[in-house]
Amino acid sequence: MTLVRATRELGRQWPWVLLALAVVVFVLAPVVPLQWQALDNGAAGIRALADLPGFWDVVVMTLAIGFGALAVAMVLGTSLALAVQALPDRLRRGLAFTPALPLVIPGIAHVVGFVFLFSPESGYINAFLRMLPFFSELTTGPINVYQPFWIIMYTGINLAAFVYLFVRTGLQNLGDDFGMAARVNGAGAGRVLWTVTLPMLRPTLVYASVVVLLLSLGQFTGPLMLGRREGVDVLTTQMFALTQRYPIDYAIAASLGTPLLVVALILVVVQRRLIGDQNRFVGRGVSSVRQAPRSRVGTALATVYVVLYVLLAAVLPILALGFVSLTPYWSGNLSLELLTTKNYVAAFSEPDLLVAVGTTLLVTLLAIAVVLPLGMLVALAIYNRHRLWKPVAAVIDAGANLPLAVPAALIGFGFLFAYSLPGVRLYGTTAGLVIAYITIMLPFAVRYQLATLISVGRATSDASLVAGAGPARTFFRIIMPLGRSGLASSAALIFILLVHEFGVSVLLRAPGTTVMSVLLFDEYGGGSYPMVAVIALVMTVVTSVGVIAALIFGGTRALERI
Amino acid sequence: MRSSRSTVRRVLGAAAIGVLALATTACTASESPGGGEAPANAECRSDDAAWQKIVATAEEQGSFSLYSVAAPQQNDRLIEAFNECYPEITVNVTRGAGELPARVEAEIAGKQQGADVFLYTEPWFITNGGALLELDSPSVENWPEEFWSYPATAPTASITPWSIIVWNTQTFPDGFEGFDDLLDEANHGKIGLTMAPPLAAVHSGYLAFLERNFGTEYLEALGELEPKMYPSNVPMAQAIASGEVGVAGMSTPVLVLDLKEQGAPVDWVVTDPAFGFSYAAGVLAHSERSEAGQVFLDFFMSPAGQFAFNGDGLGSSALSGIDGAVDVSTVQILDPREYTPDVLDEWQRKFDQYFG
Repeated sequence: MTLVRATRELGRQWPWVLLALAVVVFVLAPVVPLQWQALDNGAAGIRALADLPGFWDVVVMTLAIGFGALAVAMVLGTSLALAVQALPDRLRRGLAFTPALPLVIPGIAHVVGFVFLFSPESGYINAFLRMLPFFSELTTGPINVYQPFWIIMYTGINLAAFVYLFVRTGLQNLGDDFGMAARVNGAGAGRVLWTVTLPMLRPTLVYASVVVLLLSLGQFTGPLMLGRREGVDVLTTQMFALTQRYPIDYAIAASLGTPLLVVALILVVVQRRLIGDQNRFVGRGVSSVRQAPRSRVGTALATVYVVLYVLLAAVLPILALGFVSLTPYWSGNLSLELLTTKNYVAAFSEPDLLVAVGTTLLVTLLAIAVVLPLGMLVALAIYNRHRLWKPVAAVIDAGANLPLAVPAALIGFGFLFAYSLPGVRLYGTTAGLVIAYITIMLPFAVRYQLATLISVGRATSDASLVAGAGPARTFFRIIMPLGRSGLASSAALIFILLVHEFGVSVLLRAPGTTVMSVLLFDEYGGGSYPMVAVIALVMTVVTSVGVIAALIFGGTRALERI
Repeated sequence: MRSSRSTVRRVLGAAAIGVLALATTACTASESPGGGEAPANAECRSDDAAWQKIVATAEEQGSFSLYSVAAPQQNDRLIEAFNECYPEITVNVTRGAGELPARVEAEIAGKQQGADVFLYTEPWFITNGGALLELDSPSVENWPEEFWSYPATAPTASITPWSIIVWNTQTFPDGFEGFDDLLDEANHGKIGLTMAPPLAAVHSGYLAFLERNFGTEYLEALGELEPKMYPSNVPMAQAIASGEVGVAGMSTPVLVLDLKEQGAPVDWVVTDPAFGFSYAAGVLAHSERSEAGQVFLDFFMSPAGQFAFNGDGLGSSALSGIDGAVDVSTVQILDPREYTPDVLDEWQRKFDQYFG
């Protein structure tokens, strides 16, 4: 392309160019200082990786947990979404939100809750299982949550909630018309599933798998708290251990994150090739009344499946946390003699927790107010990439994925380096924390709304354009109302993730900007499990209130979507 | 006349503070671990005129920010004792762990206000003492020469004994007296250690301490018992209380004392010899509230401050005669300067060999 033509293209598409620049600035601000550490001195950090003791074992374990958890999450999350879709309307409305409940529990607390349940020696579930005839001879187990297999299962069960949200949204927007047409032509339920529904869900499944793979490769809390006991180490726990040493070897720590960055960039290319022309996967966008006959057995099985997942992934950990929050220490048994409310009295008698709640709500809501419209714009750019100058679209697409690739253990340092530069007075400020939140949540805002745009399709917006409405009017009068429930679901998810985020918050906090997740992290580092449980439950309540508020805004369809 | 009135005010003020300190101590003794008493001869405020000016400026500043890696209970005891003496100065605590040095260094480099006083493990102060304020306060005169992490700037404020054997009394009702007791086949799979590769200086120092005092064969024998590793002290202490593991070869006194106070079935012993690591503290030179920081650090270095932080078994003090403090002469203190990257790599290899 000649320079003249390139300049002409840029001039025509200046709003999208501005958007690309904004994304680049937001995203590269923390990533560049980190990667500079890895590449400095002739990439000394990267060259030193091979000499790290046990480095390749760590890589293998990271890949094993990453891909293992992906497989578990995709199968579980997709089957849950299909099961919910198969329920009668009333039952579906009641249960639709429940598979997303694990997301409402803060990460550290969720892992601790699983330890309370499945510790091989002291876990409540294991103690119950050892009462059964089949396991009565065992003195530990039968489930050992600290072993690699169970870490993979735990990570997959936890991430299944993400997959469920993506696939559920995809199914809602898909409608049922193609499935009806297939059944009218004699296809059974199974054939409709494998030849119509799942292929139509390909963009959703691809996007969900990219997000979940990046999350599982970058998993930190689970491997840190569960893996150490049996010697399970992954790249992120190695990074974290390095950042706890002094002096911190930023070169090696950042180098450990470089493979994840490379994987993220590769996945961006791979996902585009896997999807190809997105327009092939557009449903009619009409959520029609289901015509397929339901069996009572099918409904019962689907209900039991959903309820079992929710019980295992959310209800039991919350109950375990609740019980331990009412005890002075983790006793490993269900004795009622120790029950006390003094942990709650201690937590609420100091102002720290309530102040942290207020700070959390302020910075989270500010971040959501910016990241949602920004995410929608980026999603529109990716969705309409065929109309944009290729480099602009590619930069926006890659930029929107990058924050996912940087592990939570490291990205906070990236922001710290960026905010400490001369003239950048963002360190320790609310604005700095909000900007950091916007950056790390951009991938979620984009992916969720992109999945919605794909499923809605172009027919309605094309009709608006043909009728004479301009792009802006089409956006506000057609796309936004149609995407309102998706927007609300996206807001709810981002609210959850931000309330629980601590990798960035720990490093950017100041006395006036301490959020709840940092209090929780502090308590895990220097307090006790019962206090961890108290703060976690308060966070769960706050998260739930925020999610409900977002869903009320989104209407009943938002509730069904999430 | 004016000077005699101000003298009377100082005397009355000191008397009032003394009465208040006694009353507050009596009221709060049961709330803190151990519940011992501050030394009777602890001086709260010096009447040195130059120092009084610093104190007056500090009280005008009204508050300062403390970044601390210490346990919340130790921070609380210290701050409570400090405020008994200096109620006009509010301490804003930011507690943290490995991320604190990065934050403080970023603040120093960017000349941004954040920490006024930094309390952390010793290695940071050995390297960065030049960024701290040189101290010239009453407590400096009585501070032992050998307990400066950075001369005249960063006192070694506490030595934490880490080679504590803590056990679940229901699993091991007979308890333990020393490291030799750990090497029993009955303890196979029931021992907990806090080790997280890549090993930091304190982990390597602990292993070196065991090798130095009990021989290489001790580490080999310990490895054969397949101890369970935990990422940090809190999960391991909670695991002991629940019986998930029966005994740990390391912990910190404050965690164990807190568990005991909660009624957990745990008991503990500080080994002899013992291994420990140091905390140091300093005032950031670029701080705009350095006077408040100096007053706090001076108090920390006083007998009253040392009792608050190290008394009742919470740690060892550089000062002698601190009620309940672990005898520092029995503690082999980690010297982080010995643990260069090559030495750390060597201990990582040994760790993998014995415990891999």
